[in-house]
Amino acid sequence: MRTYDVIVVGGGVVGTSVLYHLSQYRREIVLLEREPDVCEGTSKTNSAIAHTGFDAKPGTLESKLLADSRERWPDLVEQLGVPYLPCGAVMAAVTDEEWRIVQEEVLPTALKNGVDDVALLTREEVIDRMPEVSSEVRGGLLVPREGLIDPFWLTRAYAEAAIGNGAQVQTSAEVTHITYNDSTELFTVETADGRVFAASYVVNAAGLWSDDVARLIGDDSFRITPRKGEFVLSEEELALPHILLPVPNRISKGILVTPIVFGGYLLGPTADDVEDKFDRATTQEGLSKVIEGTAKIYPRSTELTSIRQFAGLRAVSSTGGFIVGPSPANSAFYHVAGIRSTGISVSPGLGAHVANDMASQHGWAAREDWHPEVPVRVADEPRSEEIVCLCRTITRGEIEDALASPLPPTTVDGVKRRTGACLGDCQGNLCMPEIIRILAERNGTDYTDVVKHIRGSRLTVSTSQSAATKPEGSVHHV
Amino acid sequence: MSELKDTLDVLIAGAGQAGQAAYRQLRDSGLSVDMVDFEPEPGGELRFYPEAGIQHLTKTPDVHTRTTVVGILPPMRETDLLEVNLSAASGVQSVRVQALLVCTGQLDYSRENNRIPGQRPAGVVTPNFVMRALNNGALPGIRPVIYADSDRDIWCASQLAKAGAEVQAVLAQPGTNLATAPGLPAPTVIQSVDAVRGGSRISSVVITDVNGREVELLCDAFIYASGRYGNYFALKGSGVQLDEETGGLWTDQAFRTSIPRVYAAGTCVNPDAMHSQSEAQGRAAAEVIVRDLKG
Repeated sequence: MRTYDVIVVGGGVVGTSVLYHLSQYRREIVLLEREPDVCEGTSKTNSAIAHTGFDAKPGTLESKLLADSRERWPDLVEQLGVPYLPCGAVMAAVTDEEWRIVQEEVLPTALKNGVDDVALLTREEVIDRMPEVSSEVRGGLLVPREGLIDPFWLTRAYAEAAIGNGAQVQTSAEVTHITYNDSTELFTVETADGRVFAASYVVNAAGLWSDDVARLIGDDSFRITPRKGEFVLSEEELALPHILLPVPNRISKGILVTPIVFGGYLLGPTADDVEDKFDRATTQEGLSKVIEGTAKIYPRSTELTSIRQFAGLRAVSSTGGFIVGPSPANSAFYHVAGIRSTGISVSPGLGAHVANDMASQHGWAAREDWHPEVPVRVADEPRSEEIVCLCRTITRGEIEDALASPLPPTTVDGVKRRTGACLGDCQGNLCMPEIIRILAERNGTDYTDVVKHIRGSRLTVSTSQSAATKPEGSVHHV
Repeated sequence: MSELKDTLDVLIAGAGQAGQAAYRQLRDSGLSVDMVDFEPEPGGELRFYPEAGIQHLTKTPDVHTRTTVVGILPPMRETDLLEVNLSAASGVQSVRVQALLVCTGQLDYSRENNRIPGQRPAGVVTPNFVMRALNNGALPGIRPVIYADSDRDIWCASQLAKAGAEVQAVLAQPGTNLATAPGLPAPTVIQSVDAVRGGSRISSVVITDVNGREVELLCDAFIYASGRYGNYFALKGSGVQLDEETGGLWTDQAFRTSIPRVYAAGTCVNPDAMHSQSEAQGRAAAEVIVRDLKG
């Protein structure tokens, strides 16, 4: 059993940012992620917006961290080499009432939040910028610093840069037990597969499951419930250079049309409270809501060809806001929970806040040799230019490069996110069988052991076993 | 395998039925011709299916496999040659040709393109995935359900059954005329596929049957493809015209695409023909090329 200073539980955008910022200090740190890769939960299914926080509730920790993050983005994306598109957003009012709300509520809130570069746009100015916007448009609000980011890349870059500074990341490490020894002042953290880790401090960044992780130390102070958001992805070329936002109502921020860093557009999300923390199903109703919802501001949404639908679950806390700070059950156990909808956007400021808070409290010294960048690997031999993914023109060499990275993928989706393979029209049906073969060879496992993304998501079964192993029920609900 | 020459009369992209038929014809005409294919083996989609009854497909020795056309540089003037960019393990290469014949076949629209709702577990794949997995000694599942809208899907189901899978159901739209194969259940006629269910792996498919009833079919794999499009990736970025009606590359009556010196034949032009016209089209396209080049 190895003893660390800090164990971070959860490899989403929040946990990895905490790890990255903790790696600035002379501490032994490790992150434990339940799934085979980082960014497998809420962080992967969202609008991918690096949001300024112009509409946050002024005075909250969320608004403060959004303001701090806003200042950090330009340097951070440079250091981490993360694709980032500061495309700006336009909130379009399509009724007189909405136009009143923009002028009398949204604009003053933005100014109060320090987002002082917003500007009201006339109907003509909105149409000039976004020619395909609804002809009902009355006016709009331009938010120039709203940006787009690749959530996978950002999460991975936090983790890889931390690894470059000596941090460890353990995947497929589901935390099942935590005990605290008062005399040694150490936590003992056990994983489902029997690994044991010890640490002086634990950071709980387990997202949707942070209440379950809290309960492992007897902390029952909050609950997390999932709120589903469904999305539709289209690869059509739209005349939308900015994020197109509806005017929010009391219930939700509404359904938006968002460009994607690598091309294409995302329509969504819906907002429906659900029970099951694994329920990422898309529904016919959700699809219709997305199309009808966006059609109010963007009528062409009804004609778009979708290449993919997906759903994500936001972590809604029973306290109504962020839960950031020591647990009432144990002050060495630090919650970073209930980050409902702005996880990506607050991650720079939130990670720094948590790391600096812990460091100042415990008197940790900074590393003089800390590198904020992701370590760069230089390939020593020429790469194979054989095309593996036809749709996206991804070569074997590019896949091998990903496999040699500080946090190498072990799943098909891991390869997909790092290279872009499988993301084209054929949805990976052509290249996936070869990628499985490459992964099996690299992981040292059988072909049939390779999974798509989460635990148990095997893509194939063995032909030789087929007759012998007939499961009674084939439901493997995790 | 010899290296590709830097200059050629004709390069054929895709060594399936159409490409191979064209190759034989062009070679016999005395033109310098070479053939490349993205796949590890020549033969196109039908190489997986002996049921199709195509005998000669993989016997063509002179195909540069795992070699992919990744783009073209259209000629500036009528007399210029066409530049074709190729990518292979050894590196990237540019070949100058009088004519490029694209015979890259068709691809399937999957579950996502057809907006089938539900969860996103592993185990929902197209026949393309199935046949490649079988080549690696693996099945997509032991108890698959298959959606069939062509004989190709029946052949795929039949190969799964031969490999030890217990095909739970073959789903078909009303009026679909399908081949029969031993070891497969009779087709279940359905109105629609409504949802996929499962956690990490698929556990069931929900359909509406002919009587309008919702039925949940338990399975551990769902083989689904509906609708096809021409594989146009060799011409990606060239601005080549696509035919919205067929979902394939647009050509005139003589297999000429919208780009000078670029011809196309087979299922990349007519995806729904499912190979029935590929061989004849390949030969006919070759004749046009010979006429165009020899004058």
